[in-house]
Amino acid sequence: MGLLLSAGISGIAVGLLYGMIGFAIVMLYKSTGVANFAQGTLATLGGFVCWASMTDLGLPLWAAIVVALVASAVLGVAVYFVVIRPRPSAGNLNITVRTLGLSLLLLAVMEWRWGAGAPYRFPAIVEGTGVQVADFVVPAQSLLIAAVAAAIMGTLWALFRYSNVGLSFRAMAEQPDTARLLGLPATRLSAATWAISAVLGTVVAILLAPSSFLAPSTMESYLLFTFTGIVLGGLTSLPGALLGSVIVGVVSNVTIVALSLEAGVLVVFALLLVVMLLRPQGLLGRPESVRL
Amino acid sequence: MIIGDAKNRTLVPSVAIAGVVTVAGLALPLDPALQYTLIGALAWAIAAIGLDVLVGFTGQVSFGQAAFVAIGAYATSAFRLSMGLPLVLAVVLGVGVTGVIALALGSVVVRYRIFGIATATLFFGYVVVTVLTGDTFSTVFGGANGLAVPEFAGLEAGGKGYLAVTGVVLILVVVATCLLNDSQTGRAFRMVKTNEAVAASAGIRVRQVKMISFAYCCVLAAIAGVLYSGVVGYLSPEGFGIKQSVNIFAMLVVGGAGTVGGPILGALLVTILPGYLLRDGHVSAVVFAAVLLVFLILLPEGIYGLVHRWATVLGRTVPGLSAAALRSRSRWATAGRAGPRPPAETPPDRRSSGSDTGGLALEVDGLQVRFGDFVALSQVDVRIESGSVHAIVGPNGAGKTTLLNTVCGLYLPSQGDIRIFGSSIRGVKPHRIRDRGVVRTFQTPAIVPDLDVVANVKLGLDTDLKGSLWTDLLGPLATGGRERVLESRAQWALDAVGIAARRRGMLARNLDLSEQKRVELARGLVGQGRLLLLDEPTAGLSADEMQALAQTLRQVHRDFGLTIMVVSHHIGFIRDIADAMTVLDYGRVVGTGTPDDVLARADIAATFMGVETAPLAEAEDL
Repeated sequence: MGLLLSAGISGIAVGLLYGMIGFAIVMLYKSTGVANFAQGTLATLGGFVCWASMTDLGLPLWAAIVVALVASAVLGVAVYFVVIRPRPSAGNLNITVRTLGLSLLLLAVMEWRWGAGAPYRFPAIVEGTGVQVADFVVPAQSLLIAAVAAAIMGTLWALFRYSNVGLSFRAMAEQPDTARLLGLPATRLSAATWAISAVLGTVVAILLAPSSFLAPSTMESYLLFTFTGIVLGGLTSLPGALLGSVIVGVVSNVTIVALSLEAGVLVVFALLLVVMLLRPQGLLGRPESVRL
Repeated sequence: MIIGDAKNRTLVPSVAIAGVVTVAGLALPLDPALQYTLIGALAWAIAAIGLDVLVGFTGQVSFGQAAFVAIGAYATSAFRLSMGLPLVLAVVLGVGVTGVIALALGSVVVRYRIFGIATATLFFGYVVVTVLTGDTFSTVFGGANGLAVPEFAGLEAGGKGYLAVTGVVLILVVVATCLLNDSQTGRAFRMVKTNEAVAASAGIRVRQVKMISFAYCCVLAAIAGVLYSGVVGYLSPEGFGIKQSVNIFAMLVVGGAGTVGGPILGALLVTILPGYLLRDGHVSAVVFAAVLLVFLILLPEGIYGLVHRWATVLGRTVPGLSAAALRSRSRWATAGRAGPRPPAETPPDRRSSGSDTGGLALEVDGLQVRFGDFVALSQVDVRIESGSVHAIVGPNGAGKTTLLNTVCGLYLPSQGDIRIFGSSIRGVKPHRIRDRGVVRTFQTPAIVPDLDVVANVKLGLDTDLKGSLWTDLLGPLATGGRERVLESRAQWALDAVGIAARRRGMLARNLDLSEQKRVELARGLVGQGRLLLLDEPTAGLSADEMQALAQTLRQVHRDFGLTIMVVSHHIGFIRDIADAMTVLDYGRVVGTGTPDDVLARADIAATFMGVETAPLAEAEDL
């Protein structure tokens, strides 16, 4: 029982990581209609940049993190201008498949550069054993994840809710064409969305790496669980993505510990199908209505 | 619209591509490695063709195609190894099992649009690899160690004989797929791709059509899996992962989505370039991903589309070629028409049942429609006499289109009831409402832009003369009779709305707006329509076109005793054709009666025509 409980606790932490990636994906999906399948590899690349800054350049961890965050913001903007922006008339499915292609490209580059020695051990960001609650321990890493997730979500929420820039983002997400007609700098806002997405991904990769090691394909199953969390939450709802991801994190962690890895994957898939059947609009989503 | 146009009638070039590749492979002395890669490429081409039916023709998506290849391959091999079944029976059962699994997964995912389907199929692919790798079924599927596939009787795995078998299966698949795409089922695919809601209101069972498309896609994957398993002789789970699903997607993107020959070209390039020429190194993976991105961004129509475009340009610049092309095209056009034109007056069955007079065609009682907190319609009552023309007018945002959408079942009322010819439509699906005789047109003509005009009209008959997958796969041999009826009815409906004969072979997108509206009208008339809902048929038309349309509407109204409910802003047009009208404002009925009576009321004139008498006077007082 204690084992399952602590699996549940670390499941919440993992779910928060899924949720942060999910946050980035939903943000892009709402404002551009594109599901970003490159979110996972973008994150892993950020993790590798951080790792390389430490090992190749000899930077201390904190400096390497700063380098990785800046680099991923630049990369996010570059991806938007090179891969996403050209030929917008090609349609959302075309652009969605472009993100898959981008994902393959980044994966191939990472395999080429770092594949041979993978997986790599990544230094812990926080030391210490964590906090004793009743008769089990909440690991320090989980606490850090929860704190970072809370800080980032809080900041983004406040940004969207109270700042002028945030208002522009929301306008873009609700009515992209109208927003453009009203003179919002759509290109700059979209580029910024991609930058924020890439940075969020890198944050997740750095938080994840100490416990799961770092390999080019690290994020593959993460991306899958994140997408599941998003569908559970209702596709376009930011809090929904977070809630769905935490549910996926807890369910998968508990079943993996209680049964097996296979069972964990199967149970989460079953959960996805059941929600799709019984509640197509997701937990916090709104049923969509077509305009004709 | 989602991933570009689909091409019509590609049987000849597609079979040519498959045939040339097969014959070249058989005739040329290929080195064993290349021949082995070629057979693999032809097998993957079958999976890619299946995926293209789902993506390029139906507008859906699957990121789990490799998993269905795996299921076909593993199931067939397991039936042979564990149960000792003979090859043919094992293949039939293996492909059948894949089809059943596809239907089960399909019944869930077809409820969703791209995001949901992509997630579920991607996840399904991951689940399949996990299960095949895991220990639970390792006695049957070999787990991570893989499964050795026994040789196919009398066929050396990488030999010419195997290549010939693979090539023949590929050609059969190409023929069946081309026939399917040009059939009534194929036309329904295209309409679902264009707009699901419009397809439903035209009587198409959208989920069923998506299921058929998904199952077909997966069955072809299973066939590919059987052929692939025979040539590699050894199955291992990691060869069927998400990466391979993306590879199959890349085949149709590079080759050209929305065609049948394109994915074959794509499969050759995607399989042979990295596997044989670049020997599967890191460079190969980078080059492959880069090539995919270049195609997606710069050449979204793929190799097939590119060659098609060059051929068209070449045909236009070289006079001799263009004459030849015209000849072959006209031959196709007449071949498609199948037999002599039937007499233009061929009436649909409806005539025999008599026209609608007496009783009420539509009763709307206390209708309320909400979108979240916004109340779009409130306490709306409308009565429409059978056989009458009833106009709905009101300012923009008054709820006119919402009323139409609710009547044809696209929106659900939160209160009130709607009865059509006496029976309630509560809980009735849009395509069932179409079955009761409700047909409609949309503000912007909702036709399939990349189908020709006649094919668009045939879609209106999907309720009455539905395609059946099995006969549609066999082509004109099996569907000739049905196609002739469809053709004559479609031509009759186009006569009724006045589309010139020479415009009927054109792609619908190349018609002008008034013609597109008429084609949509013809699609409504062609079936068993009794209540016609027209949403702004006059918007964007010139005065002459409007008069001609009024003439046509009066004609069809008189000839077929239809009931017409029409939304329009043009008073002249309404006075011209309407027997009664209802005025909506802010989602409420503010007036109803004959056009002359209603339009004579000062308050109606104020809301409807913007003549603000009273408020202006008040404003001056302040």
